Amino acid sequence: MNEVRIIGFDSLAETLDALARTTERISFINGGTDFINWHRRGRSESIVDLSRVQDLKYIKEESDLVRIGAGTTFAEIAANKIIRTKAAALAHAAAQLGSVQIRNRATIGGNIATASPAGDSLPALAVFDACIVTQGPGGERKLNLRELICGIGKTSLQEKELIKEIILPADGSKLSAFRKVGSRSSVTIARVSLAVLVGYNPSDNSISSGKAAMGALGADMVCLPTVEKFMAGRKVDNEFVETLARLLSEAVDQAIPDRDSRPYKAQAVKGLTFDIMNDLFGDKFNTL
Amino acid sequence: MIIALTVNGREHRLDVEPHERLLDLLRTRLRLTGAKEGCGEGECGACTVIMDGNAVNSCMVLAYQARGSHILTIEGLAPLGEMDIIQQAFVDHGAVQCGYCTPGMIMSTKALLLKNPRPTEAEIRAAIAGNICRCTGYINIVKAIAAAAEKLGEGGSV
Repeated sequence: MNEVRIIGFDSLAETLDALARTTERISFINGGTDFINWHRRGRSESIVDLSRVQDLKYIKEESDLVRIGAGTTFAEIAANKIIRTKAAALAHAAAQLGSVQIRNRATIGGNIATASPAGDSLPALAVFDACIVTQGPGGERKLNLRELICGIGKTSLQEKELIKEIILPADGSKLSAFRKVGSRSSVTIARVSLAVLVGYNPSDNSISSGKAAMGALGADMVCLPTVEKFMAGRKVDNEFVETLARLLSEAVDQAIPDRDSRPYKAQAVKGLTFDIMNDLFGDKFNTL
Repeated sequence: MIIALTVNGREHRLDVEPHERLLDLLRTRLRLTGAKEGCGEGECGACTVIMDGNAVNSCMVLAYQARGSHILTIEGLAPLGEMDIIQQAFVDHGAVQCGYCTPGMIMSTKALLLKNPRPTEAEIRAAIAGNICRCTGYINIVKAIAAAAEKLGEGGSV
């Protein structure tokens, strides 16, 4: 067996070069906040450290797109003006992920690659139809979340393939928000989470298009076409919010029919729906 | 793997293991036992140190990842044995009971005040949300941090 090694570089080019040369089985580490818990005991692969790769750390706007380097930390994402204005749901998710200490290390690429159903960035990325750009020995690939994450802790990433960039189609014209509930009010792993993205027309108080994604409900992100269909063209009033809450609650029932946590999550998601609608449209909706 | 890093202003060159954590490096190689291991999984914050200006859980950083970085631990706050303003504020406000969480709590405070010298109570609570204390109930800790911020605002340095 090969001796376990750890290597790391300051640039993507050097990293890719080293990957092309090695014949060892490798694991990637970036912020390490998931990696160290899972891999410390008894794993023998060599480790490639991405935490110093400077050209994976950026947030920039390009016309209707927001491009985020996979090595960007959640502290940077939560504080970034572009994300806060154009992809508020992702800023909210980043700000609620872990603690200050975790957000200073944990990266968006790592959150995706870990593929936890409770990954806080995932529902926010799903409502924006994020495109994940990977780079491996076979070149570059562009995948959506559904193509990339294929089970709990499982991805379609191949050996030596890393996540390079996350591209959000976000021109700033839509409103979005994210909420979660867990066992504590802060520093908590989501028991259920919800992200909503809406195109809103204030002149007639209507929604032109809407999308919702729920996390921590098993392997798949729950992102329903029926909910999307329901939201389009609706007036924003209490009845709308109540119906949306009911549809999402029914979606929880369908997603995890046999889980002991189903009644709790089905109820909790109604509260999240009201909270998010109040975040988006001002505090005007009364909880059931 | 040989790495170089600066801890509390002193440079070190050390041969680290691939799975060795920054916390292990500090405690066992450098004998800086102020940072504590509580949970070992990024929940409790007892191992908090400042890495290049940011609070981190030293149990969640591999030693190798700290190559070339500047680390500040609780020992670095009192190099001459005199307590700094944050430490004194914790003592004055009864913010220390068993003391296990205290080094981490103080390093989270230090990181907060370096970036935000006049934090609100909500900002103080958010800054220490990743530091768990099972003795004091946080009230005196929050008071101590507010007092330290005020004192530093009067002309002390963080």
